[in-house]
Amino acid sequence: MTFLRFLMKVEAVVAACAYAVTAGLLLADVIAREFFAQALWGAQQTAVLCSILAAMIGLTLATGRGAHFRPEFADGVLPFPAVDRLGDLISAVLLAVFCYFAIEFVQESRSFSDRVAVVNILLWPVQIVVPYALASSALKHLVFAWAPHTKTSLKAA
Amino acid sequence: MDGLILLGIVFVMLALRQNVVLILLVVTAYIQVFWAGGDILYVIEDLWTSMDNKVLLAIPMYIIAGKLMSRGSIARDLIAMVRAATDWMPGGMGIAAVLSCALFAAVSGSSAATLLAVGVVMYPALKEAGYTDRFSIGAVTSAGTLGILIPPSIPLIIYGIVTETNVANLFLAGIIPGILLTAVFALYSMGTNLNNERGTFSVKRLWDAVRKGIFALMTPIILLGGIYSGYFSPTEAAAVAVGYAIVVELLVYRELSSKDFFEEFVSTAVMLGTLFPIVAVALSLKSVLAIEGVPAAFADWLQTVFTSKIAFLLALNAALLLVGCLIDVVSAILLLGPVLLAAAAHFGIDPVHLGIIMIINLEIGLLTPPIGLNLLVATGAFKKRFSEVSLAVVPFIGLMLLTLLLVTFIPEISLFFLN
Repeated sequence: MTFLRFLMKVEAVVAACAYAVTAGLLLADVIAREFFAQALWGAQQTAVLCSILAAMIGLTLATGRGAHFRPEFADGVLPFPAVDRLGDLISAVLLAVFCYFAIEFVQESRSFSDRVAVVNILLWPVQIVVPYALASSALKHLVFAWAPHTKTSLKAA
Repeated sequence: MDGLILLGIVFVMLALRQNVVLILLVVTAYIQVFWAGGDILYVIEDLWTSMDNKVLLAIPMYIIAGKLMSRGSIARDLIAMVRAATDWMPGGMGIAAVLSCALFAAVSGSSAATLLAVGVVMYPALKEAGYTDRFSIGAVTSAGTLGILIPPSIPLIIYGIVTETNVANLFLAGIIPGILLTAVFALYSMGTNLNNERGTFSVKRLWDAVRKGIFALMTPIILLGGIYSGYFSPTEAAAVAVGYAIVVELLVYRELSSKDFFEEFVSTAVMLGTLFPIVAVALSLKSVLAIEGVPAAFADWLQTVFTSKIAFLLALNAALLLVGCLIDVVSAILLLGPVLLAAAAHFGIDPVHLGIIMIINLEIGLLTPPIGLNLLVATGAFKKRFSEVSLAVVPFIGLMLLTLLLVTFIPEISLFFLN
């Protein structure tokens, strides 16, 4: 529980910083273009990467806070008490499967030495956020399945 | 058979309380593997490719700007300004409620935020001024929906991304329908509240209110003026809006601490963490379906069912109104946007015009049971029964349907600035 709280705090700081950098870069780009007649090199592409970083971290933050959209009309179909825990366990397994493929995706990008357009840096270190976000979400669901009370206390944190 | 299996998977996942992101991921993976003969890896690749899109950047920026501008006294100042301008008119307070929602929508870009920010001030004020409870609830709840039509509008950006339609053009196309709907609501307020007590007009009061509210009022002017004068793209305008909101907050209002700024950025990340993966997976699904020729096949089928453009447009509106009752705005746009685009193209309907028709239909969906978002928000905010709020918005839904028909059959209302 303490670990999950700490993890979510770190993730919140990373996501907030990523959006702050995104806004800063886009704004600096507009200012540079309007006042110095020259766009800020690589600003837009870097902003896109920061935004992806924030969105993927947001995905796992949303898991921790129970903020993901979930249609509730079929909730009564399986009325046994442990259905929430079973649901969390299945979510964890599914996310782990997608995480496996995300790791494969990053490995492929690394082996091809894919690079970010314009700024020309290697893409795979940024793409690591995809398996990370999926793994972190899977971990949270696994903890929720193991100890359901963590779901409410983490949401309130 | 595959379709039935797919429906079964979705139903089982819903019964097992899985969220929309996971359901969409599994559905896309199934279609990718069993229909398109691909690999689950392609789902992840498509997810990345969909997010690697400059236009998507506009969404978090507008949300952050809206959140910053929605906090503190900006709503109060805007309302004071509008009230000073309209209090003396018949039904003036009702007009003020509607105009405040329209202006605040242009600042915040969110229907729920508009309803909450304006509603908590205007609902008690309307009741105090002798307006009926039903009208007061109906006015703020309905006018709150203007947030998704008046630019900057997140649903319009999502429609632009998913149908590859120019977002700046969509923003332009939303202006006249937005003003039309605001005017219709205002006229209704005037017509139904002729006997209510009126205030007096004071130039000094108006001037003082304008001076206070000018910073908030400048947001839409800077945004739309910047986009249409060619200074910046909709994405850059969103970043400028964030910069402007921060400057106004730090230099003028001074109500937010660094902790508040941090919280707004984090809550944006959480909100986008729920939205971005859905948009990305839906875009991936759209690509697979397009390769399989599903939208084109659907369009061909529609052509055999509807022989005239008028019949198609009427059926389109009826279908979208029904969809608006059952699913949320973003999901409806993601699911139906690409499919309807292909069908509309067969009947010669402009993609921008289609976008505005979709948005107005889904805007009405915010006011219709069982899942009308604004109904739910108003029920909680004003401590009313769901049925009371649902009945209060009925006359406004009628006015919106009228406006919808005008916008549907007179494309120039949407396309005036584009022509």
